[in-house]
Amino acid sequence: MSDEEVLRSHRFTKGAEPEFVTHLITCGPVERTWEAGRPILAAGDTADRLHLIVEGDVAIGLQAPGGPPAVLQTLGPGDVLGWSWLMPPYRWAFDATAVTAVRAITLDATRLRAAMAEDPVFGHALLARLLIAITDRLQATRLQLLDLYGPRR
Amino acid sequence: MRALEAGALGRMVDALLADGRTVVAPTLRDGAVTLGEIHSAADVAIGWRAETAPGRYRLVADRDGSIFGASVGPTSTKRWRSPPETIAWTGRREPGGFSGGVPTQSPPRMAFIGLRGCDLAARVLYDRAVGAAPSEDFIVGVECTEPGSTCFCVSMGTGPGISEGADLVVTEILEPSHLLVTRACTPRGADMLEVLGGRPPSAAEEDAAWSQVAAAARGMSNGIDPDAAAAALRLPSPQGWEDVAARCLACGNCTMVCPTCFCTTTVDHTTPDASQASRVRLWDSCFSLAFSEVHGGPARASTASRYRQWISHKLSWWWDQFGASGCVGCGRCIVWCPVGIDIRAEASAAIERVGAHV
Amino acid sequence: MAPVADVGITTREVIGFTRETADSITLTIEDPEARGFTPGQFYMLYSFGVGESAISISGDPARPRAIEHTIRSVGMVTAALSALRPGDRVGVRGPFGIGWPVDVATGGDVIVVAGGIGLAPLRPVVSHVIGARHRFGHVSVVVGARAPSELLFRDEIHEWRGRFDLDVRVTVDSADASWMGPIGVVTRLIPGVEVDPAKTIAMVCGPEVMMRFAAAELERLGVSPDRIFVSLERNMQCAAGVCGHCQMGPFFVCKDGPVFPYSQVAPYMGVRET
Repeated sequence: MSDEEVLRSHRFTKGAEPEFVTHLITCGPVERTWEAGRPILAAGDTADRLHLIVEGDVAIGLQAPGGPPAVLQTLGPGDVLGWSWLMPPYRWAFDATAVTAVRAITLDATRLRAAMAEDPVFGHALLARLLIAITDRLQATRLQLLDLYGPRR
Repeated sequence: MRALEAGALGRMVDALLADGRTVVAPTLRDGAVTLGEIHSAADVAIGWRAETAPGRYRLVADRDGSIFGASVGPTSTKRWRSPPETIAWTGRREPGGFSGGVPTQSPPRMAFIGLRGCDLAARVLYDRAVGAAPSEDFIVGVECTEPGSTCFCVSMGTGPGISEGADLVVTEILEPSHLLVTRACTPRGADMLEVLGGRPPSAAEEDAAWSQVAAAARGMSNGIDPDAAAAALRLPSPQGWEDVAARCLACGNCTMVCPTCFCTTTVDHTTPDASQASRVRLWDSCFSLAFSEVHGGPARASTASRYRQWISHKLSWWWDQFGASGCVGCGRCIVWCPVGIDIRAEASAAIERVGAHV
Repeated sequence: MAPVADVGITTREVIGFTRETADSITLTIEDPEARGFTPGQFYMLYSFGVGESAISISGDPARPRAIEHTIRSVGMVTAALSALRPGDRVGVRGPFGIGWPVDVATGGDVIVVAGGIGLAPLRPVVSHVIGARHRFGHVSVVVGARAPSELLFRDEIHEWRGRFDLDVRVTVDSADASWMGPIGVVTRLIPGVEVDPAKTIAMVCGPEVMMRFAAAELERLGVSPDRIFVSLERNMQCAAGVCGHCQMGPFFVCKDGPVFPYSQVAPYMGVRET
């Protein structure tokens, strides 16, 4: 499958207008892979890419001083990784590490921001899709915090 | 149809006792005229009227000496159908385990004197809810001529006239003279009427009986629209219960006096040496916190949710479960509520909230 | 006296005990009559003098003489049941209730979504499907647990994973570095499951909140709410719809359920304290 085909079949673009995907393609999607255990992005680094995971599992966590990195959540195929490039200071807030071999379609953040500013319709569509992903992640995190299976308080 | 003089009550009681029945009739207890076991006609509370209002019940001496002048008291026939406390199972520890069984009790042969239309409807509903076989109880129904202000059987379609569910139906009249205008609805009711004697009522007496029941029906203006209530409470809104919840004490009185509330709980007992155990079934109330306990806590913690459960079940979900409203309009829950919560007003409020006027 | 629920308790022998997690065990209870059960049904188990508790059947329906129950010790009765060992006797009544729609699901795809102890009543579904694998299409088993140490039936899940004809996904809410699998709530795994919504039956069991969110994810996949089934937990005492305790809206969970089509119960699950 070409990068374009992969992009079209990714959950992130499910049900989208063809122009939306075309617009994404003009932002230069690049396929990247990581071996198991390799860092994908690190807290504090410049948030420069949107990642759409195609294969493999990614651990989101944070390295605490003096301890092994705590994993909060894992992401898998179909998930979106990283949206800190949307707002200043454009720096990653958490670490992401490949748990298994990972393949992702990535898009350049500078070009995405420029495209969003240039074409508000595209900008709105992209933001709306990111918002769904962010909301899902927030809800999942809240459910995790509920400690559903723990002893009732 | 026969016109019986007041003294016929004694013959009725004697005949039912002689038939080996436990006889229940209106008795005076705890400041109320309420159903209780009697051993002779002298035990029947005669010459009382009941003044009822939300949260209020007062007996007033009736100089006319009416036998059935007081409207329903707190006790209903469920007390005998499924007593407040029954042993459901007993067992004993044995080498390598235990054994046990359900104690066998042959149900007593009962007779009930003075059941109102609401009570008769409630008996049918209660049996349906607990899956009980039809009873062999001998029933003397009484058509109400002096309903309380809390009565609303007319709107629930259960009274004050009686068309079924009794062996004998009595309408007590004081004018032109004090008589029990009585008709038989079953063959054994007819046999009893033979024993009781009397004479055919005059046209004036029959008319007095009929018109007093009709007047009682006309006088009950305040009620519940059963269809609108069922619709409004099918999927009750979680909002709008704050007002009633602020008043409700969650004491469960309404559920104890309600003639159709059927919920029970089972409590385990052991002897001190743990050699024997029993499981005791007790009347329970959906107003208790423990009622909806799932591990860790109650499903319905707030008073609002528990009141909502009770009224929604009674007026709406009963239809789904048993094909009828669970409310017969006896008004007991209104009278015996310590803070006078009126199910009629709460049903209207719920209907109002969803605009479910039919 | 009204013949309220049948309270006849039969005493049966415990013939097996397995510790599953720190607070969960599985008891095997002999049924000499081999009365059988539908996956999703439950028994009332009675500990002499302590009391009775509704416990789902967690064993294989193809083994009707050895009824398994997985019990989490959360109260007096479940603690007493958890203390039983082979050779002890326990009181039983059952099986009760409407189980999972395994017959309706036959011929189509199946998604099983379990959270925590919710895997117990779904394990018979998986056993049944494995026993008649050719009669089902694509089968996914999605399992969530609080932590790896609290995962039920670990060895069995390992065997399920080893099969090529089951899509088994397991996630935990939290784990240390020794856990190589997904971390996060079980609902996060649902979007990744392959389904043909029109011929899929979903069976979901876990805490009520988890079931609501899982059903929402399944609906997003296109599975209609009348093809999503949930198993509800309420205070079941008589198991015959007579004592009134387990009511939720118009339903007696003990006899109208515990398994319901989500379309039927969703309006009530959505109202708090129903």
